[in-house]
Amino acid sequence: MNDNHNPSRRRFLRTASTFAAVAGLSQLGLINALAQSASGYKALVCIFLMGGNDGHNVIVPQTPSVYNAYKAIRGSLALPDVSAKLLPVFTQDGTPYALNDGLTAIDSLWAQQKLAVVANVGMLVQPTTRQQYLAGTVTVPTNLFSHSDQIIQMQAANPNGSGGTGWAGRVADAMQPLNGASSFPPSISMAGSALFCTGNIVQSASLIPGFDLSLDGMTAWPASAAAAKAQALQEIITLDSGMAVVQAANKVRQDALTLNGLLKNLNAGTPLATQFPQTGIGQQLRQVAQIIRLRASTGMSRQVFFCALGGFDTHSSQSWAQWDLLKQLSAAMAALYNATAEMGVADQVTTFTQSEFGRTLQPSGSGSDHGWGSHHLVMGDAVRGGDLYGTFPTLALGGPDDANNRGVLIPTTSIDQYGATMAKWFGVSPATLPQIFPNLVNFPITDLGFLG
Amino acid sequence: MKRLRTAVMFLIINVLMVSTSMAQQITVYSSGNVAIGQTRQLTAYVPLVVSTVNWSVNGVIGGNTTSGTVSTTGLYQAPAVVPVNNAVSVQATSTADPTKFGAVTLTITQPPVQLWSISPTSTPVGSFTIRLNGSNFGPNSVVNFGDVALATTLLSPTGLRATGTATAAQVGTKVPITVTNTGLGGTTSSVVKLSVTAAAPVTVNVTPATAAIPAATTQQFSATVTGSTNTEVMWSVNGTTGGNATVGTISSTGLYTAPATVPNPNGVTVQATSVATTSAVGAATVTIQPPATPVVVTLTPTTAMLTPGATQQFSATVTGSANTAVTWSVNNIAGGNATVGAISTAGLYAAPSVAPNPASVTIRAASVANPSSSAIATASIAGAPDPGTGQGTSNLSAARFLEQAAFGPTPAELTHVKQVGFDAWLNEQFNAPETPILNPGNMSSGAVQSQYLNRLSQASDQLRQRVAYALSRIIVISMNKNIYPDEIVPYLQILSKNAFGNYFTLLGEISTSSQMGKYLDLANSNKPNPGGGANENYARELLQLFTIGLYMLNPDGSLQLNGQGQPIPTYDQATIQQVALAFTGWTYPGAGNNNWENFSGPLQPRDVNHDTRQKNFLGCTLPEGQTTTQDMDDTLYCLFNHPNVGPFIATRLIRSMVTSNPSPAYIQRITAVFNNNGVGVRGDLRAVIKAILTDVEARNDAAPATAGRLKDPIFHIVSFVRALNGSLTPNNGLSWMFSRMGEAPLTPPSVFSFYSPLYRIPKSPLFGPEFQIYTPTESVLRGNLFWALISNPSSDFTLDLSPFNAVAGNTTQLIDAVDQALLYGRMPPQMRQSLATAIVAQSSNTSRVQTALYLAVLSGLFAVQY
Repeated sequence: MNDNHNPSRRRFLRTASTFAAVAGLSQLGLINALAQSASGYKALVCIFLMGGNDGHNVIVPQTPSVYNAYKAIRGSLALPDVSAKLLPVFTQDGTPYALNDGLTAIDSLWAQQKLAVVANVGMLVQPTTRQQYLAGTVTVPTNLFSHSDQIIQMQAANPNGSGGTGWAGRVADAMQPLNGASSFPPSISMAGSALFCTGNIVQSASLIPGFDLSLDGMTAWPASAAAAKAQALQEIITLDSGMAVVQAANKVRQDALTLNGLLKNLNAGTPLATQFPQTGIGQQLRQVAQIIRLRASTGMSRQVFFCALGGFDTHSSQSWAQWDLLKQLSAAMAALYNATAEMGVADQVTTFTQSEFGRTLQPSGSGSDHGWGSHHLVMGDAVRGGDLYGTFPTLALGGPDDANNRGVLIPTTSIDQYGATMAKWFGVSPATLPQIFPNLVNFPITDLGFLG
Repeated sequence: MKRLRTAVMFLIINVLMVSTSMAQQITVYSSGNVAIGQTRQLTAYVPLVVSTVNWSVNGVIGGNTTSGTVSTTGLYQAPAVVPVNNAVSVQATSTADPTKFGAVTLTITQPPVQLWSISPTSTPVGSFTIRLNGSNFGPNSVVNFGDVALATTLLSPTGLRATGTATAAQVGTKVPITVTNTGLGGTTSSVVKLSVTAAAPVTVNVTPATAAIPAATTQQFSATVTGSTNTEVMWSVNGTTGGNATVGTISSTGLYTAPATVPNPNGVTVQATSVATTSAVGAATVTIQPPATPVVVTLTPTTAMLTPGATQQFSATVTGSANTAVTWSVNNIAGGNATVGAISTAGLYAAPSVAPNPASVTIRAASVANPSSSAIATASIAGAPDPGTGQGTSNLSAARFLEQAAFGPTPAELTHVKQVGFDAWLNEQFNAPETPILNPGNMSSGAVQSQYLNRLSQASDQLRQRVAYALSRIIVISMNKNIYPDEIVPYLQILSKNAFGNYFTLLGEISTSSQMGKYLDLANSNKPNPGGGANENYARELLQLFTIGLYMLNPDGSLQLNGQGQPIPTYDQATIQQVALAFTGWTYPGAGNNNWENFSGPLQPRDVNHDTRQKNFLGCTLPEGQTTTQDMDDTLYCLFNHPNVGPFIATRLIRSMVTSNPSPAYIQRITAVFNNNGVGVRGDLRAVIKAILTDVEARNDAAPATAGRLKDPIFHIVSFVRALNGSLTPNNGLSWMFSRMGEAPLTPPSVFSFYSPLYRIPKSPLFGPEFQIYTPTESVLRGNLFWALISNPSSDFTLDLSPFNAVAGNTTQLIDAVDQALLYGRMPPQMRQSLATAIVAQSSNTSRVQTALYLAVLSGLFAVQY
């Protein structure tokens, strides 16, 4: 875009130049936003299930012979039980499965073909068989089964954790041209600083649900004293020191003031009718919805979001704990879906889960231990839902998908494939995908087909 | 006639009597039911001369209250309650001849139940509910449907409700309905008939039937299903279950959400389909109206400070209406006036020539299209205070030096540096005793963090603290994996101890540290089985982050490029594998060859687990058969002597301590010192540090336009409390605050530390590593922590506001004090003016001091070390 051909921008700038204090809007690139087409918005929303979610009890096969194998191995963890019942679903080819009824809030989205499961996703360097894994004849990710390492690897899509950037951050890097000159953060974590969102170019900005970036210490009595403070702050951070690094720091604070104005008014006008649960994840997703709602005023065309729900490291009392967490998850996801529908962007927002790893099929006590591959949820109108993607594993101790003898799933779909499918939908060119997902070239399928 | 009939009846009765008992010559009539409390006149026919009789009930003359009484004239009075034996015998005995008697049996009943009508009088096959009207209904009333007793509810003595099921076989028939009052003395009503008809069709009715709603708003529909007990429906829009973004969506509960834009054609059909009978459909029509956009007025600026007679342009933006015109008022006076100031139709406000009282006025712009939508701004009119010209920059040189060589100046340290000069101060620091880093076994992880923050702010060996801090950003261990004190403290001790030592020694101690052995998995990395590889984690990070980096560097830190203009990789995967093999055979302290985690000392070599093959990498060859220790020493020596190490480490230390964007020449000068400290020693950190801090570029107090580095959160806060002669206390609870700002003490998210030294300022060619954790949220969190430090004394920190309080009432002196403490006399005149205006607007000395300090720390000039 050539701004000089935009008379409204010129007029705005002239007006702005007459008084320094108006710099706010221009700082976030909103001038461009005003001229930018509102079409073509897309967002990816990652919900990271901290602790290693047990995918075995998210979706349970119902074909009798398979279910019997599941039930025999899962023992005390087999569903249904007193905490968690099962919600029957069918894939498009009619294979029966059942979802943990903790997911009851999004169960209907499966029937509406807006929710899919991607089976046995995990960190891989290359396709790996049990024989290869046990013989050590293929390269596998370092420090499997370690929370800290696998959280990093799964967010980085990098099997040794090197690189210092996250896959969504790199996706945001690739799509940065579409965001024009807007300096609104394209990559936002609602759960603290997240490697997932960090790019080589874009920052991982974090927002704290419920925190509207109001700066303390700016109130005073009388009102003129507060006004004088605000005026002085605006002057001080607008003052051109001639120092590039100082100006960059001032710009961050100016962006914060502008964001504060936007966030304070999230519910101005017609508020989002959709109610979100008063849970941590509910409030994170609410903030995501509210940021999406600001897309016209922020001028964003592509945004990635990171949210997290912790507590999935269910070494004990798993049945109730996981059911309860899934209830929180699904209620929040349902609200996000309804909010995107309310905003008319349900086909432009794709929400998905990740986790550092899955868990052992074989229980230990009332819980399960660290595993590897796991099943994940993908939601949105762009999702070819009501179906299961990837390959559902063979549930057998020491079976072909077991990394040992406890039902530790060797992933059959890599995080690279999972992420690349979403990145492609997001608009990343096929030529760029291998730069974002370094091991994608090792896998024959780069688009799992669940989006489009 | 009457007599004749009586005679006939007598004859018949007499025949009957005779046939049963010849002894009874008296006949009593009539028998039958008598309801409780009711009477019955009995008559005795006495075919004797003396026709008088004695009346008795159950053999008791005159009866009694249990079985009823009878009068001398035969009037039977039934008892008030049904007797257990409710068939009583009432007898008339001749007074003349007691052997002559006659009797009747009366049955005592409850009040007889009556059924008058039912509603409805017909029902479709299947379950039904009917309401019955009659009398004498009671809790013991049961409705009979044919011979089936129905579930019956007593509504009142005259009303019953019953539910039942009509079978298919009953279709077309009329089934008798009766009511039975069960129990002793109960009765059954007469019959009323219920017609059973064929099943009713299932219908669905949707309400409201029509709706017109704005785009992107919702409408709740409800569906009523009749003719089926399954009232579930499936909702669809224009035939699509659940709808879609184009025609709108509908939830499973009938909440319709209109699309964001008006569909073409406008008008969609919302349908509810019975789940029981999918042919049963109800529908409603929705017309979508264009989105209702509220009229919103935005006014900029929202605050303005003016001197009397000055002007200020305000600008109003109206959204949500084609009519963007506004009306302007001052203190709700249209166009204002000479007292409060006047405002033009174009929003140009002219302050009055004399400051008004109160000094602030409210400017309002109201939408012409919707006058209730308006926005306000505050204009304060006051004479501009004189901020003074400042006290000069006599402290600048020493203060800048202490920002680079320490965690910023304290008043005392500043004085000291000015007295002794840089070289002498450096020598003092190089020779100063090392502040011990305690590792009591029972210390909590949080205490390690708190004491760490305290040392940075208060330790007297500030240069060592500053250098170790910089090294900790290069050689990284994190408490997110090494969670216990003994997994982190010895690492800190190694960095502290070697801060002024040789980088080769540092590499050696780090590589065999059990803490690093855990963090990057060198511990128990054994020689691989044939075809396998050793754990590469430590080898990879050692190469990429601790020594030579990814790309070949020139001595000035710039990238070497190949013929195609591409960077040249320093190493490849084979290099990593070879180094990993060279590093096999190390285990935790202990007796075995693969010991459990034990952090009591360095890793120990176990040649039995060491890969003894020859290794080749980076032009170095490790001969076959070397020991674990020999291979590690040789590997580290090979890496240490790689030409990249000098520019790689020099660049990182300069970025941490002095500036994010050093000139190539500056890097090259430091590289030269790293390569040779002047007496032939490579890697002498003491010499490198001294060269970095005394370089002309570091010591240039007239900073060029690209100079400086953004202060990281810990440095920013610590340098502030030091500037105010304070510290973070040993038991402070500030780690959480720092973690929210992206710099949890000693807990970087990964081996890449808190931020990448290669991170560039967004949309700028300049490097700005610390900007990676300085986004709007972190900037506000930092600001809020500063405000807490300034305004809310706590046991987490100490600081001394007395120098500022002492001059609180004098605007110029207050600005001078803030300028000297935080900006070393560099506060620009415009900023002094801004501060002065804000200070004089405050109503207390406390607020004046807080305002002056707070505004200064929020400035980019204090956020950046330059």
